[in-house]
Amino acid sequence: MDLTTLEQHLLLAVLGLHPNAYGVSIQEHIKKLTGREPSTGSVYASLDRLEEKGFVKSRQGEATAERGGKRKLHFVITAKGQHALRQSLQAIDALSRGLVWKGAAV
Amino acid sequence: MSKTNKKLWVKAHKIAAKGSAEPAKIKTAKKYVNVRVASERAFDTALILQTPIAFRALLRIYIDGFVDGVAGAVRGQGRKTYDVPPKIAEFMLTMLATTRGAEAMIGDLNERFTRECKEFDRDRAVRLYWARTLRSLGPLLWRAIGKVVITMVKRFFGPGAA
Repeated sequence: MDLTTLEQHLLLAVLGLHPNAYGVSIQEHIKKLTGREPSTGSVYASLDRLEEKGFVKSRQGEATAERGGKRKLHFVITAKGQHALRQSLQAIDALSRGLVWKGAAV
Repeated sequence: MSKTNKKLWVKAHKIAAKGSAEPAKIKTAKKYVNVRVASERAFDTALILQTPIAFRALLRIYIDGFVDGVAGAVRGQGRKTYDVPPKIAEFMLTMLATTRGAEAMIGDLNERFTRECKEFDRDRAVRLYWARTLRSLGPLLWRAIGKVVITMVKRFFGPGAA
């Protein structure tokens, strides 16, 4: 199953932040490590799509005063999701193996 | 309604009923209590009449706005100085996301808004809230359209289609 770059980032963030992966923490984690922050809408739209495919599972968490009484939605990666992520990362790894980076500043 | 707002709401109710504060505060509290009670009745009626979800969501946001108003009034702050995120932006997101997703998404935006109100000032926090909302509308709209298209394709071309 092909994954987009954002989907890869999201799955990696959900895996890395376990068990505290929810909207804000995922966005901040991706921004911290990649320098680019995905919009709230794209995060939820992609996670909705990933949940539909069975790659992540969500559960409603606690509501706090600072969230205006709105509950969090925590995400966990499923075994199917881990398998898809691994395959996707291995494909990139295979494609980039042995490349000579000419003229690119490292 | 959050726990803090609920406490403030009860406090406003007590002020309105007992009249233990200064007249201006009693008047404000009474006004909010009356409007809130009327709004809740309207919401219940809308629920019984099975009005569209969009209408009920708008009504809910309107009622919550009054709860925030109570919180501000009881704290002795005006509504504008209290950390209330822009309601129209919230409504726009509610329209495009699934129910669970909408609640979590608005909660996330509120969390950052509260943090930014303390960190910067309310005006900047409102601008950032709007910017995040507008950036989110595109992906959510595409997702909503995609869902409709998939449903239609399954309906007309999927197994069991006429």
